[in-house]
Amino acid sequence: MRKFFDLLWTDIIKQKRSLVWPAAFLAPLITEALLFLDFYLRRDYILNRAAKEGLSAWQTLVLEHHLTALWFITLPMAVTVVCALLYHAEHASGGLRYTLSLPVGKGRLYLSKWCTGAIFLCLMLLLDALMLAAVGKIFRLPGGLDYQLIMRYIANQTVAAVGIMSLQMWLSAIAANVILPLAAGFIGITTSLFLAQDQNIARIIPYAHVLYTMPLPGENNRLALEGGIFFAAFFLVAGLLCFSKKDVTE
Amino acid sequence: MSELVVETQDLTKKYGNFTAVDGIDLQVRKGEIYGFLGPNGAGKSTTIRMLLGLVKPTRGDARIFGLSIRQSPMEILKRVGAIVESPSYYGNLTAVENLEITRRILGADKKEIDRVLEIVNLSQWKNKKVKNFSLGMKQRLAIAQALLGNRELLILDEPTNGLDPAGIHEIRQLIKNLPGMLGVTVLMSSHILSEVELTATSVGIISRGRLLFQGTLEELRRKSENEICIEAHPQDKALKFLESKGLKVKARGNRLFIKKNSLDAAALNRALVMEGFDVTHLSTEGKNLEDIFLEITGGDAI
Repeated sequence: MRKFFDLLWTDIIKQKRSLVWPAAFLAPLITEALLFLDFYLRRDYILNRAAKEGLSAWQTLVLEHHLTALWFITLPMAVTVVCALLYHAEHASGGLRYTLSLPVGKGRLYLSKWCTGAIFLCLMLLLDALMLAAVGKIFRLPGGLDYQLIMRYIANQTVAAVGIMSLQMWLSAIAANVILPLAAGFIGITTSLFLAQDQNIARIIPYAHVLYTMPLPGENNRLALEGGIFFAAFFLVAGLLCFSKKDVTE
Repeated sequence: MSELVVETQDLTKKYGNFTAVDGIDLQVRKGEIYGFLGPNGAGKSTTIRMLLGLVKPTRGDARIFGLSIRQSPMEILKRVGAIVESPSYYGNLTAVENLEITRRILGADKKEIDRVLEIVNLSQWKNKKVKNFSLGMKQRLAIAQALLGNRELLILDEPTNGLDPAGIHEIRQLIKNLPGMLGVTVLMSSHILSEVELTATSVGIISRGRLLFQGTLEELRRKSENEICIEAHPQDKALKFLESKGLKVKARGNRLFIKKNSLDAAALNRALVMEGFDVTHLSTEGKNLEDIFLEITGGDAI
């Protein structure tokens, strides 16, 4: 186990001064900047309209953050980019063949990269949640900070995004050309915008699950949670098997 | 006979209908520098990748330190340092940070980093980002990575590729000193004959996936059987005369060639002149290693 943590540590060290950090943190920063602007320009209108629909101020903040500030697109895109960059560093520098010529093992390396992706995902969502709460506080939303709502929101997003991450990790691991996983991700995300309107179709598209993560009345969070868990496990196992059998030829 | 560090049996790799490596039996002995020579695309890198477990053999097995790479890859890789094709590094990290990654994975002592940096003469640039290194420095860093953790076998795939003459000389000297200095065995591949000739003690020649020669450089040189080249007139009669003396003669152009073996060129000249032939040219021709290589590989250029 210690060896695995050493490997995980090296995977995180490899990201020092790399593009993964801005890629992971720009997404929440841009989304929160948009949310800030949204509330700065029309705070009263948004809150009044939401109150008529029976939503609390903090629920409205989550709704605006998710849909108006486009977090439901930005999050899957950021996950796609982070996964691609994690492997790009390996493919570009010959790091994969070097690391695998050490006593590491393909399976352990794949798991370590998967965990590194998960760590970046968690950091991204944590930063986003902190800034979301900060925006709510800055605009003095009525009622105290709704911790429970934000915690549920983070938990739903984590589970849904892990499904996407598992898929993107697999694609990024097997494709030496970084364009391929990026293109697959972006096409998947944009198509899911249309297909996600139908819950039966959305259920089988991992990119669509983030749309269903808002912990608001009438939202089908179960779809996101079930889909996220299923696809995270499925693509993790599929990726692990595929990568373990893959010849390292690049 | 000294201990075999690397031994492959019928090692084969096929990609569909294409056979990249065809049943090769490598034998690398402890403490030697083994030059794995072959033209580009001969199958050197694929063989090296199979030795390191990066590519699964279609058939056969590779045994390193007496262990099978199929069954005990982790035990083997702990003791093997490698450069595969080009130096692998993380450009965003410094030399020390790159080596720290290797050290962590191997569980080696922290002092190892300074030791290997000293060996490859990179100590003064240890805190510089590797993306700013010259190719020679990157190659030296890759060798430092391969040496870290007191590895017993170094597998270096084209270690001088892309370097300028000064860089080639520097890396060559470094590799030559390694067995004496650290007691390691070195398997280095190259497509440059002179490189192997100047560095290696044993050589394996691979072409189109097949191992065509394996032995010491001395054994390879012994293949250069000298020939006596004669220009004598009339040529057809001279040919018949020499054959009547029991010699194997080949006519190429207006010259006759006879395998020298223990033949005395002066005596041969005398015999021809005494028989009334006009001898206008007589010389002893030896093959250099490049001729031998071309002969072995059937003319595949290097």
